[in-house]
Amino acid sequence: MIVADLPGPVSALLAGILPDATPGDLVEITIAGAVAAAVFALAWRWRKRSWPAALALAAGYTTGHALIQNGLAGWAPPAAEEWLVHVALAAALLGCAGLGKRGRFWTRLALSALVAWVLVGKVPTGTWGSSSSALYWTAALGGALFVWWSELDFRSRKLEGLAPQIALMLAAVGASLCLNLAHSALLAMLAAVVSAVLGAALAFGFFYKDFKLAPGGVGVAAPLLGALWIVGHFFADVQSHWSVLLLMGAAVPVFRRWWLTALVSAVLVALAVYLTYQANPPCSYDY
Amino acid sequence: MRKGIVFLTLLAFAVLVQLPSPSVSAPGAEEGNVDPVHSSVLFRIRYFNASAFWGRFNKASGTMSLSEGGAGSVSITIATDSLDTAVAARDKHLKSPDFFNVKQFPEITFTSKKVHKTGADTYEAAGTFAMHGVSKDMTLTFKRIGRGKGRKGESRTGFESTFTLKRSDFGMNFMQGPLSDEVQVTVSLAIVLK
Repeated sequence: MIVADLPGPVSALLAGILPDATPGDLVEITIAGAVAAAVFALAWRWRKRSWPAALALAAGYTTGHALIQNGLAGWAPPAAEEWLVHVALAAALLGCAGLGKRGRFWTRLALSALVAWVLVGKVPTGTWGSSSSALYWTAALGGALFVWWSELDFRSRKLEGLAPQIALMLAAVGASLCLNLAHSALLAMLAAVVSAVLGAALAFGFFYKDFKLAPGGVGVAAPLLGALWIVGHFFADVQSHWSVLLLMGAAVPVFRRWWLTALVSAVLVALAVYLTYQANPPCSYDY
Repeated sequence: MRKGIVFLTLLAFAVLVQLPSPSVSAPGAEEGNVDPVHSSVLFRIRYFNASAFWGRFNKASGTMSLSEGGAGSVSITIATDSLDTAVAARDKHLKSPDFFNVKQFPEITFTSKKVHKTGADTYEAAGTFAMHGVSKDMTLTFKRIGRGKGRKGESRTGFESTFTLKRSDFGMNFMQGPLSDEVQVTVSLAIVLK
C-alpha cells in the first residue's frame, strides 16, 4: 500500500522490479562488467584509440550473455535475442578496424541495416499484412538506428567528460527495467549486462579524463541497445513509446555540464519506466 | 394398444440407434484428424529441483493415418500461444523470449517420417520435433487408448504418448537450475476417423 502510493518510477522499482532480482542474477551482470573493466585496464595505454573501448564492451557483453544463456548459440541461431552477440562482435570488429570518417559512416549504415534486417526477419511472415510491411519496418528501424547512432557518435566525439557514458548507461538501465516489467527477465538481464559494461566505461572515463567512448565504445553500445529495443518491441510485451523515450534519453549529451545531461536523461528514462509500469502493472508472481 | 406397441418399438429402436456402441471391432486402415477439443498436451517441469508444476497447451491440431499393417503417419501442431499454467503472469513469462517466445515461434510441431506397430496397441513414430526454431529427430511411443463411436456416430480413436525432452536441446537455456532442463510431455490425441 505504501509502495503503491509512491511516485510511479519509484513504485515501479520497489514493487515491480527489485523483488524479482536475486543475488544470482547479479553475478553474471557483475562478471560482465568486471571483464569489460579488465580489458579497459589492460589497454589503458591505447585509450585514445578506437579498439580498446570496442573490445572491452564486446568482451564484457559476450561474457555476460554466455553466462546468462549457459553458453553461446551457433553461428545462425533461430532465436532473435541470440543475435545480440553477433551484433556486439561485428561492431567490435569494425571498432577495432580503426576506420576513417567515411569508412565509419558506411559501416554504420551497413550494420544498422543488417541489424534491422536480421531481427525484423525473425518476425513470422504471417504477422505482417503484406510483404511490404517487413520491408517498411526494416527500412524504418535501420534508418532510425543509423541516425541515432550517428548522433551519439558525433556528440560523444565532440563533448569532453562523462556525459555520453552516463546517458547511454542510464538508457541501458531504463531498458532493463522496462523489459523486466514487460515480462522478459532474459532481455532485462541482457540490457543490465549492457549497462554494466557501460558502467565500466564510465569508471574508466572517471580515471582518464582524455578517454572518449566514441567511436569504438559507442560503436558497440549503440547497435546493441538498438537491437535489444527491436527485440523487445517485437517479441516482448513492450510498447513503442518507451523505446523512443530511451533513445532520447541516450541522445541527450548535448549539454556541456555532465550533471545536466544526467538529469535530463534520468527524467526521460524514468518517464519510460513509468509508462511501461502503467501498461504492465507488476503482480505477485515469483519467477 | 397395437399402435402403442408399434410406437414403443420404434422409440426403442431409435434410442438404440442413437446410443454409442461400447466398442467397435478393430478396423483395417484408419485415417483421421485430431479433435482439438478433446485432445490434451501437458508438460511437467521441476521447480528448484524440489517440486514440479504442470502446464498445458490448449490448442492442438493434426492428422493421423494408419494402414492395416500398422504403418502410417502422424502430424501434430501445437499453438504455443495457447500455453496455460493457471497463473496468468507465469503464462506471460513463459510466452516471452525467456522461454517459448511465442511471437517468433508460434508453433510446436511433430511430423512423423516412419510409423510402425510395436505391440497390440503400441506404435512408434520416428519423426521431426520442431520447437523454438530448432528441429530434432525424435521417436515417440504412442499407445492406443481405445476405439468407439461419438455422439454423432463418428468413429473415434485415441492415442497417448509420454516422453521427456531437454529444453536446452531446443535453445531454451534461460533459468537452468530454478527450472529443470528435462521436461516431461504428455500428448493425448483424440482422433476423429474419416
